[in-house]
Amino acid sequence: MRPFNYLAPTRLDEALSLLTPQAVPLAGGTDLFLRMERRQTQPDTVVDLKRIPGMDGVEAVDGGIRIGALALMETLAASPLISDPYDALAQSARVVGSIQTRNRATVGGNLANASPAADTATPLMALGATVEAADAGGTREIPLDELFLGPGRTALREGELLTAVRVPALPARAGSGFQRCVRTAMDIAVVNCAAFVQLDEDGVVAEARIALGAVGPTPLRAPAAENRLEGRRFDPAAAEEAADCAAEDARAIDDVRASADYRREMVRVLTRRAVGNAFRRAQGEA
Amino acid sequence: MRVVGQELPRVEIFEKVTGQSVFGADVSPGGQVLHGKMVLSPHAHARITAVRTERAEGLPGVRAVVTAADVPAVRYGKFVRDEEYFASTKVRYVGDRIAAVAAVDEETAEEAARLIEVDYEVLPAVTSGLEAMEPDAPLIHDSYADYWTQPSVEDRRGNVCNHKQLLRGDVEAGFAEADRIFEHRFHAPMVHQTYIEPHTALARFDASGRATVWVPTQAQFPLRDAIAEILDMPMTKVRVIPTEIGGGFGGKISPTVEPAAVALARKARGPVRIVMGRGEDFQTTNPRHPFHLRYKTGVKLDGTITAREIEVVLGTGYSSGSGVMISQGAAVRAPGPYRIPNLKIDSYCVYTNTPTCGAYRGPAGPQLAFASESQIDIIARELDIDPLEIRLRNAMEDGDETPAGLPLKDVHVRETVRKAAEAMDAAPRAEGANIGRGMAAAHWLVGGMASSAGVKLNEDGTFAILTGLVDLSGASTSLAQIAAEVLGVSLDDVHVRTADTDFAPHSTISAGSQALKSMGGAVLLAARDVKRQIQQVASDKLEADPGDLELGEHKVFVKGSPERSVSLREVGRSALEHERGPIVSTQSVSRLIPHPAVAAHAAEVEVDPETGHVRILRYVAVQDVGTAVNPLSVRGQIQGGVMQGLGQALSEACTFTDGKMDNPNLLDYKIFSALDAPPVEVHLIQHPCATGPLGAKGVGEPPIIPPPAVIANAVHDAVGVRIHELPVTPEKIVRALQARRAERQP
Amino acid sequence: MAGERIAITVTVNGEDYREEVPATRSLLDFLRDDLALTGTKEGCGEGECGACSVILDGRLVDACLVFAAEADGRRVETIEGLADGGDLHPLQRAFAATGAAQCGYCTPGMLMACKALLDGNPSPTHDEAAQGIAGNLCRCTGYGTIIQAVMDAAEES
Repeated sequence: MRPFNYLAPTRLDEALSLLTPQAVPLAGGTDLFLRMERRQTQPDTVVDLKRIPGMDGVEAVDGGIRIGALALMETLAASPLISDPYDALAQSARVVGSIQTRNRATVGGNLANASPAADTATPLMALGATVEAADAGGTREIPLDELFLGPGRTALREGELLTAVRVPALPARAGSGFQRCVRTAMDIAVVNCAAFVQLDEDGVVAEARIALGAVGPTPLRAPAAENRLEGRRFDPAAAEEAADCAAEDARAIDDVRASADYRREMVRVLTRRAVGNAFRRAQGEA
Repeated sequence: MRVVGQELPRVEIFEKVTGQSVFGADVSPGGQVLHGKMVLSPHAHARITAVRTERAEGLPGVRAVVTAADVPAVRYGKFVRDEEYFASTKVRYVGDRIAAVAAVDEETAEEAARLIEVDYEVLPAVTSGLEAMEPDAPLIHDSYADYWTQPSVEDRRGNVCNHKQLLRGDVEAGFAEADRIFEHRFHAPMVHQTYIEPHTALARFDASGRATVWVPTQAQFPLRDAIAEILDMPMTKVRVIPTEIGGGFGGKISPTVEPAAVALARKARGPVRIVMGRGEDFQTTNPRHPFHLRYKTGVKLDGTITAREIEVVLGTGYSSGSGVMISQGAAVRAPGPYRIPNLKIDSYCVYTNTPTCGAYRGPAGPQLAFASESQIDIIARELDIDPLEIRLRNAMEDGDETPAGLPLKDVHVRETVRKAAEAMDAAPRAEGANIGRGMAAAHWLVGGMASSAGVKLNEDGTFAILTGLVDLSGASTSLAQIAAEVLGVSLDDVHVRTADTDFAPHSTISAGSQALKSMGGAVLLAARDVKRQIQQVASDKLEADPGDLELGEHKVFVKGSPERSVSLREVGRSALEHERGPIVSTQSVSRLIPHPAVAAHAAEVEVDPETGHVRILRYVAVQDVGTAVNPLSVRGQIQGGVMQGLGQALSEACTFTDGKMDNPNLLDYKIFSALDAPPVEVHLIQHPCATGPLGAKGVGEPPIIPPPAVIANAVHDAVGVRIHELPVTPEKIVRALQARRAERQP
Repeated sequence: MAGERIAITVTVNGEDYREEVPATRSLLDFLRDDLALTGTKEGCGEGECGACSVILDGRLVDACLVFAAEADGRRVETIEGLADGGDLHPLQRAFAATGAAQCGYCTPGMLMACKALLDGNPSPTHDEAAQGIAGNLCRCTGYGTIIQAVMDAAEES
């Protein structure tokens, strides 16, 4: 590993002032440590954010929730503010790596790394989340759909730090589902999929959001699949059709973990299952 | 028996659960230890046109750089001398050794390794054994014809470095006699031992010209010999000190970084430690051979096998390593645990541009059983015979011979297979769709190697065993149990010490399921001799005939008159004054007769036909173990072996693109975690074996052999598709199901 | 550029250690090389095997992916502190009795994972026990005896 300076500020503004182009922020480090070890990232300065108080909690805000960027996966998995209403998010946090990883990895890190397979990215996209990005000049909100630009690339500007994630209030008659396909239990997702549906009073889909992971350069929305659901009542055929559309929306590639064909097929299976889960929750069944 | 057969905790367990055991990287020789680092080829096949080390040597903190120029031009290899330690003119796989550096710290060593410049002329490479046999395949060893070989090496041509053929009966007549003939091809990929402790070595070179190497090894004596051969040193100028070993499974037998550590220590004049990273360990050690297999089998309608023609192509990697021996052994075991009168077996050992494969636990076993037992299952289904029945009908028995003509005794195929079926049938099949059951049986031949052990009576009445056997899987505890049994004491009164190559009498290696058979045999003889000596010394004290004396409860007493006794402590002390002197015995064994050991497993699985995921609902492992010296260790070995076998069945494979391993890390090389592991129900078949110490059979390897076939058979039973290539991944199952649907809807 | 050394104070198994370390130093190397606490093992250096598991401020972590500097002012528990003086922890006794340690290399990390599990959940189910050790790879046992040891130790305490 290339030598660097380690700084651990205790205030956010101090941290922001340290984030020069040659500096990287350190949250849980489960990804950054390895990238530095392999010399894929060679910063002059590492700014450890964990000494800044108040960045690791989950709080209820405006009917929704605000999750500090440094909230651990274990915190997400255990938070009652998340586990019931935002079922898909809680489920995704529970399957990120081992307990050792979940005790270090943070939601901010999971998103800012912009891995196409990030497990919390798809449920947060399906739930309509935004992220707060701060720099010395102030804070702005970025819809999560616009955060990811490519593998490891985000819309965060130089010197800008992802400080929190906001998930909007869950409307009535809404529900989410998360599905994941792996090779063995402890694995990075071969494909993951999150679905969100909101029904009107007649049980017709008013809004649907479906997000797919590990089938493109970034986590993806599946617009064709969402359109196919909107205006429909739940029936197996609707889920099946949405799943077929999602498989079209996916931009899967071959790699050591799976072939593009298998991934597309799994998008179909997982979308159908995730949509089913979301419907059942929206209908108050599960 | 009092001690043998008891489930006793391991003798070294308290060091292990407190973190006090000293493993390879934990050794501290005192003084500054330099960090060593290997420089490896990034190409699968290339000519070396230049190696420049000046920049690395000039880096502050670098203490030594060694290349082919620093070691003697020795070509080595046990069967074919086709390996050079540092590549001089050509690299033959990604990971071939170019150089090694030693520096004051890890960062400097890494930097120095990067500064070594090598010019290559890249050559076409071949990583598949089958492709390497093609006439136009790149030739990996240009001057193979000039290499020295052992006499048993036959029929070398191009990349084929051994071809073993075994014939029995008349295979054509056997096929003519058959009602049906089945022919299938199978493939099993390279898989890695993935012990949790990576390879490491610490070497010191004394002013007197002696090298000392601390290393977690399964084979300290062969390793000493190999280091001496590679560095052209007198054998006893090399001392190998085995540390505690964090798993081996056959992967810590051949030399890896040890000669480099010695060469660096010699040049740097200070101790050097090399610790492999996980990626280096995956890419430069000795994994399991990939096999291409063709099985052609003739059967009568009642399931009787009349003939088998088998072709095995084993990709050995860039050198023959143990591939010749394993391909020879594969020929002998390929037909499975069955009596088959007519056989034609061709086993090819073929060079490829990959790491040299080694002796991973049960070498050749899982690959052969996957092919053979999958085909037996196919045949049973086609002929509508129960999978148990077809195995019972053809099972080998006492007096049957291996294809090489070795008559077998203590064969328990029928009982083992029947027990596996019974245990699985003991519970009803799970409810629901896509549930299936499968079984498979396999045999292993456990030989033995020359070994010697010392047993002494201490003056406080306790005993010590002196051995050079590395404790890999509970062997020390079992040796102590054997001695305690003979000497009438409890396990606590027998201390076992593994000494190093300078001080231990010669030992077998801890591999091949024979460590206990070989070393246990020597300990048994030595303990019995010590007992005789004790009886002799005690007979003077007790004024009784030595033959009338018995040992027990830390005493020697007169048979029938336990009140006439003398304590072992007293015997130990009085022996010093006795004409015999101190009580000690060193005994040896060699030329041990191989015995068969049988494993039969059964599984119940549930397959998700949409994702292809396989969930193992139940797993039964039955093994014919002779006398279980320590059933706790025996069950532990079986459960662990099954789990490695299940990894090979479902998730493990080293895959290569352009000669480079795609997945040299634990994220993408998928071994089982606790969440993947099903409970394993173990049943032991115990009939004392005539050729093992106190009736014990070899245990370690058989359990890894059946799982791939068991799972493939169970998956077929569950969803009706047959996977011919390991591992049985979700993706392969989904693809096979799609293909079947396409066939049905033309 | 040469990175500066950082002065840190880490409480390991109840004892305070003050050391100067380079920023690149991992918590694992700090424990093994600076403090000579070699009970904690390295198996992969990539956070995949769990051999380096230690408990940091009450949470189980892979010490290979933590910078030593991050542990400044924090509490670390390692295998060396598991036994209470001469008295083995119930988990250690259970590991010995069930045969949960074979080669023993994963054992220190595995024991720390089991301790963290029982600290948070004194009577886990079989599945919870499996979850708790899922980040710790063992290649010898097949995990059954380890889970048994966790259940036995839970019952004992």
